[in-house]
Amino acid sequence: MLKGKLTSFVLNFLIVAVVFVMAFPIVWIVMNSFKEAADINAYPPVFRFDPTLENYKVLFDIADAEATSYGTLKVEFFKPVINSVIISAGAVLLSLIAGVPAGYALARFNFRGKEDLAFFILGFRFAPVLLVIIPMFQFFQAIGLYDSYFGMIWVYQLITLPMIIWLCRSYVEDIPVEIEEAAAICGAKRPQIMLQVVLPLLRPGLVGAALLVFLLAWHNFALGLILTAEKTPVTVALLKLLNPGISFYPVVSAGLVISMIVPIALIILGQRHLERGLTFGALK
Amino acid sequence: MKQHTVALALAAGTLITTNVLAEDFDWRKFEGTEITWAYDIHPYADAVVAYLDEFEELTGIKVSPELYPDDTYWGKLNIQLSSGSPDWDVVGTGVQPAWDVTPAGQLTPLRAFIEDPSMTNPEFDYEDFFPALRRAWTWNVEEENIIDTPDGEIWAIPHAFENVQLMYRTDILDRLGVEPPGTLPDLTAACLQITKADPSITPMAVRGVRFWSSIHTAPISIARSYGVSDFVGSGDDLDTGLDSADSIRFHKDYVEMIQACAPDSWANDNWYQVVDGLSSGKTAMAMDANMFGFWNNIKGASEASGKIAFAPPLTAPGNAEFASNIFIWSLAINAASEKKGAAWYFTQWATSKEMNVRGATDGKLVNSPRTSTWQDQAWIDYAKQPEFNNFYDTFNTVQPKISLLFTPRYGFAIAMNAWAVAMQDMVGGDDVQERLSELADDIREELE
Amino acid sequence: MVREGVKRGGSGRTFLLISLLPAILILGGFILLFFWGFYQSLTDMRFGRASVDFEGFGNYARLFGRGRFWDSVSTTTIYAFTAVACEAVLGLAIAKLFNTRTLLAKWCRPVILLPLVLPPLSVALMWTTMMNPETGVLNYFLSFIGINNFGWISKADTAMFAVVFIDVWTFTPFFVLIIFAGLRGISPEIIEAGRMNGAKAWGLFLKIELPMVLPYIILAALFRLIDSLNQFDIIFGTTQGGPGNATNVLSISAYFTAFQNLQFGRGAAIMIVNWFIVLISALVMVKLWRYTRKRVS
Repeated sequence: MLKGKLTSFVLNFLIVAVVFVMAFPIVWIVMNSFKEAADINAYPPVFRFDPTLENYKVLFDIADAEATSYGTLKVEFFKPVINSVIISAGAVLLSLIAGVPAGYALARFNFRGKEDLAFFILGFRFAPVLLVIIPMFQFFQAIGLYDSYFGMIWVYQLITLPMIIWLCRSYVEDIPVEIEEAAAICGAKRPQIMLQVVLPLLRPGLVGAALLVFLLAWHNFALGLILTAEKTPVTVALLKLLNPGISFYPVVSAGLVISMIVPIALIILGQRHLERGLTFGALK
Repeated sequence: MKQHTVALALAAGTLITTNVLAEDFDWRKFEGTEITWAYDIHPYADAVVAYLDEFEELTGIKVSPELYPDDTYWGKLNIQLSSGSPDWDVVGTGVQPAWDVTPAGQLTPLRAFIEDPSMTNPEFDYEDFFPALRRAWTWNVEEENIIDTPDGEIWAIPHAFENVQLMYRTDILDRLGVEPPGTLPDLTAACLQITKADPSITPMAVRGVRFWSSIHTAPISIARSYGVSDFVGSGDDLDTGLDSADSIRFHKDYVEMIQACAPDSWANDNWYQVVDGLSSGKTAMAMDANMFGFWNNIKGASEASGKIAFAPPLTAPGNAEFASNIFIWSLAINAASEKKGAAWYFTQWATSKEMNVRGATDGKLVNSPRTSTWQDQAWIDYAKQPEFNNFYDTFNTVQPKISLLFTPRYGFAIAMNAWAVAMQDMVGGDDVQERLSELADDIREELE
Repeated sequence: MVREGVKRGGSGRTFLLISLLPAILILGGFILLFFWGFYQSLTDMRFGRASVDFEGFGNYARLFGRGRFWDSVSTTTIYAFTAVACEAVLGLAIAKLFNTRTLLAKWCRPVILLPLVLPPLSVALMWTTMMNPETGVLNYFLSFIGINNFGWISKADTAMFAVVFIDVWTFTPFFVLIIFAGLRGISPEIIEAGRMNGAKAWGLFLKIELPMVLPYIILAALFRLIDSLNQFDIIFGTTQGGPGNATNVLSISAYFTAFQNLQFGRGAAIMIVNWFIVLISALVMVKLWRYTRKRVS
């Protein structure tokens, strides 16, 4: 009995420790976003302070104080957040549509060169983006995709599609073939099997994969900087807050907080699906 | 009749001389055009954006500003210019980046515009810009090399410039009884004094990031006073000056200063950490571009308001001559632009006398590159307000000695970035002479 | 009947084609760009200069002759493999921890993903502030356990540790998520059977859980390794490759060469070498993955 309680206590303690380490930088940034510039660089670090909304006001151009005002330069933070959402979510959606069937095919079919093809798909992630950024810039300008949602969603496939395909392949391989064979015996055709039998089983796994891949797409900076002008994602907008004329640390913190809202919301929404597990081993 | 005409002519003449913008210059030649202007996110940009509506009213040209984050702007600029894209018409740039793009003809030469009375309004007065700034923007390109020619082609118009000075917190130095130092070893001594009197204050802040921008502020200015040049000779005889005896002497003093005076985070400190330290009172002194001190002195800008004073850059022991490096933010025209006329109109308007005075008295366009601005009463009155301390006078003291201390050459960044890396190694403990020798070898290899 | 070769039946082949084609087309649009990048590594192309000469493998020969290049190679591999190894081990430990039946485990699970919501380049400025040796909040905490003025990103001998630290903090959740799902997927009957055979907790873990989640660990490691060997954002945002050359990984070196020094041909060559290192590492990981999968079935 005592041993159980002790183990429980230790486990809980460890969990708290892990939570603290994972969450602290985020909490620190949130705190900083409500501080005035003087408090941010104070040492010893300030944990108790008078909060101010000034930094958030600056982000949305409603600041009065000159100290944090960016002058006549419009800060425009709201639009980049929307851009990031459209581009990242759009990219993930396209990757799911194109990637799930491909992952399924790689899992269920055997053909010559299959592993080579799978590796080739993965290979698009091997080279640094910087290698192709210039021809990509010229290419996009030539075909009119520069500074467009469509162009960005397509380019982001380099980040999202290979991972979706590989994860999907792995999950499908975990689903016992017998389920599909049973459905086939009942007369179902292949597309039907995939949509009505396999997909529901995949859903929890795909939600997790989509969430991860969305976050990775959300991180991207280089593509957004070079290939957009007005439709810049939030990662570029955050760096635009660095202005030589002002003390910008608290405003950057506020910007980071705003940019966190969408990913955190998605994590909370997706939590339910993640509980159910990414494989369906129970069916065995 | 004749008397009437004379009287009319006199009246018209008076009108013309009292108008800043002359009436017979056709400002509306390009009306209806739309141009894109790219620049860094910076108060300098702010100074222009504030009056874009006026420009459109005057000329009928619509300007769309595209502003980018500080460090990343240059990468995007390079890609835009080298790909020959006509997207950007007017671009903000500096002299050093221009050395790298003009050999391929990516910027429009401007001398033809400046000397054409039908394209340049009479009030523009190119000679009004400080000689050192005009000189820095003049060179010829031959066989993809920069040939430094005093009356060669002109590649951009100065918009605002940074002038490297020593800045210090009057309240901290007064409290600790320390005088602003004159020579580099004096600085190190002052630092030790400060640390003894108050260990919680960092004596000195300078940039240390792994880019040539760290060299551009303190090192190259002070090194010049030691007799050090980044390059010596010219043409085929061009050689690095960084392993000379003077250079070793300078680096030993400088590294010693950093180790004694600068914060532990020096290797990661960019301009924002340097300025932040000074404005928050964590640092007593800094050596960087003087307008940072100016901006933080503005009433209500920071807790340092009114407490930052200025002094010329440090010198070598026994040499009273200081040198001050500059960075000139300027407006250039993309060679691939399809609206060069309108682009030139915007350029001359944004750098006009009127815009300079307005930008300066708005507290944004510091330092103005025009002689007339510094003699304009409105600006003098503004800059001599008590909260700016000796900003105006120090500018006048330093201004005759300003120059761009880097040697003009294509591929400028290679050697200078390597210098910044070597500096980090030396501050980290590497032997100065050996590391400089290694740096010189690397540079010589690249020169071949 | 479902897992068949393509030879049987046209419907199988059509389905296969339709499944794979969109993905291949989407990605294939960029393949020429990679070849173009490779071609540029064979030239002496420089920004701002119009003339371009073909140099064959001259850029590569020059690279391989430089000690500093090989330093970059070792810095890159040390960084990537250390980070991924730490993330795998920590990820497994944390996934196990959050799989227990304690009350806190269930409520705290969403927190696992928090580090991933911040884009590394955007948050790098904050890390620089937090890691300030004299005024940073991290050293504030460390001072309580007697460590003073830890160098983090400001000193050459601690910079590598600091950037690996940031990488591990940011991407361990990636492993946790994938491994956690794998753990949840192990059917309870198998665990029960093991327990009935007398296996204790540690034995259960080693003999049953670990082999079953190993393929997922390898898969996650594969993805993370590819990204870590190419990591730019974290290092550029904090140390820019310094102090000195302490964290000068290949991607940073390539950036400086291509975009700062404007020697694009040489920079491209560095990136191609980087690509090659990723290729070899990925090949090894994929083989490992397939081996562990076979063992599971």
